[in-house]
Amino acid sequence: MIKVENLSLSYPGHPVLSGVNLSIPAGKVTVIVGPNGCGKSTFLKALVSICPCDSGTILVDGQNISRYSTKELARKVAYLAQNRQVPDISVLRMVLHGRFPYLSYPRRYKKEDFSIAYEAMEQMGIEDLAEEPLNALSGGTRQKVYIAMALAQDTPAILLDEPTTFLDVAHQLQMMEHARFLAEKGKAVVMVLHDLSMAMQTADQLAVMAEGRLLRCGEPEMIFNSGCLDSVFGIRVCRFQTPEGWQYYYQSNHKRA
Amino acid sequence: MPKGKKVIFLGAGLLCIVSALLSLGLGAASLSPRDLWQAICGGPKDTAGWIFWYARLPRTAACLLSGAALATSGAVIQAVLSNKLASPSIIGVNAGAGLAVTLCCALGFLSGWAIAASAFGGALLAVLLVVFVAEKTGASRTTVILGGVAINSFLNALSEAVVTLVPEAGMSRGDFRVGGFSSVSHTRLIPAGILIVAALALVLTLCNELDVLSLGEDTAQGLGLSVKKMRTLFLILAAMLAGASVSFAGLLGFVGLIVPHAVRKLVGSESRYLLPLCVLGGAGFVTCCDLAARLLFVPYELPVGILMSVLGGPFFILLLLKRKGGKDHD
Repeated sequence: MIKVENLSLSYPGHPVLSGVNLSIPAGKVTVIVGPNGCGKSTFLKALVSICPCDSGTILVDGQNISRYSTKELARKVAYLAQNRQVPDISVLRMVLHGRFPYLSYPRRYKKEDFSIAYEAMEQMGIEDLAEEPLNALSGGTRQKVYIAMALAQDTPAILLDEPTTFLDVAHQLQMMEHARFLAEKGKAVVMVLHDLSMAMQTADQLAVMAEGRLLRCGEPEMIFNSGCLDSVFGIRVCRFQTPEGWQYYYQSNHKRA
Repeated sequence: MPKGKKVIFLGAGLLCIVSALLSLGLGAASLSPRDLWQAICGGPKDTAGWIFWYARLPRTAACLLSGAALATSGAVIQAVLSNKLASPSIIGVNAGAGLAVTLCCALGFLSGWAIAASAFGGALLAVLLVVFVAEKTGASRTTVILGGVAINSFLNALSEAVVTLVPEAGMSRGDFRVGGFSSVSHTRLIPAGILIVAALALVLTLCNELDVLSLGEDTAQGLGLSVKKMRTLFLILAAMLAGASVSFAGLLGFVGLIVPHAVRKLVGSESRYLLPLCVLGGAGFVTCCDLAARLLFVPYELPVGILMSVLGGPFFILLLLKRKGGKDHD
């Protein structure tokens, strides 16, 4: 679905990404992990051309993203930013804005847009909240609204930048289910996560980044065996067998005296 | 449209019409409805006709136009800078237009189009200056306002300096500084009016864009909005509205701040309700204030800017107090 080849990107003065290669398949959850400041968020932004890249190519559906217009790209890839303003509008309006890339003159949302928005809200179980103001909702519910918006955007790929921030544990787990659900619908899902055990549990494909490079990418099991997480984060990742499969946890490397 | 909102819109529309009719009829010399009708049909032939065509009509139109323009400009600026404290008078947009108009007069260009165009240019430069400062400093919400306030007082000081050096430039300056409609004329009103109507028409077709823009830069871009282009367009439109209004009404302060806020309390932040109601509410509010300014101390007249602050200040504080318990994520 998305293919990144030899991507390099720099902010004025310092390089952020160098030589990143990654292929993001449809119907799979790709999770990106890495220490703070390693360029994960910038990488996602590059995929929706919020951050223009210096060199390398990003192919979406086999076509270079520089050849898409902003609107065309927004019909291919949905992006949920990490820092979001909470506007004072209703849930329905918010979800409807997912249809913005499809708007043409006279710039009014049509019946079809409304029915797609309602369908998206039903899938997230928030159809009863349609008329509620967004800023009166809890963080977990608001997250559902944002995902419903991305669903309404009806794109083959969805990028989620740290979707679990500010969520309690139950909602974090729910968020992982949402991600799996999106992948089962055939979308290419990319998430940036900090919680390694959650990442190992959820990912079909785990990408480890450090200092602007993609160190390794593959199935969680393979990444675990390579020991690359241990060296990148300076921790020890361990696992134990449970009836549901492997559970991962991590420990500090520094032994207490 | 939900029923509650319909009632609000109807009310605002009525306010506009009633205040405009009163504003046409009442003043130092009252015109009865029959006089009015004859004046409208007969043109400027008798005294009543003269008063109607050359004093009341331009004045009423000026009130409606400037109110609508300033309120909408304020709402747009608040959305684009995502800052509820922003308004054309606070971040220096009005001051920029004021300086440009003063300079224009000082240099002897007195035609209506020259003044309207320079006011727009001045307002636009001020907006761009504020945006430039905001982007260079990292654009925290407070910085935008602080930068704007600094630019505002700088531009106002320049205007004062020009008036001190070229006293002729300050024709009816007193009125200009606080804003007022006592010296509105056709020649100034028509070019500015055209600018305002055009900008309003365009802004009202861009409601969805404004809403998406206020979701935040990254989200907006992700939804396929060209953020930089749209933001610049909105600021140009806001400068057009505020600048054109300053060119004939002077530095009316308060409208651009309180009308959008009052309207937001009534119908929420969705632009498709907010902007039209700002147009109606702003127009009605300014016309009412001007009416009161004319009538309270007949035959003397208060500059409407003064009255607006006297009425608007307490009203606004009342609104703030009424909002107890509402959640606010700032």
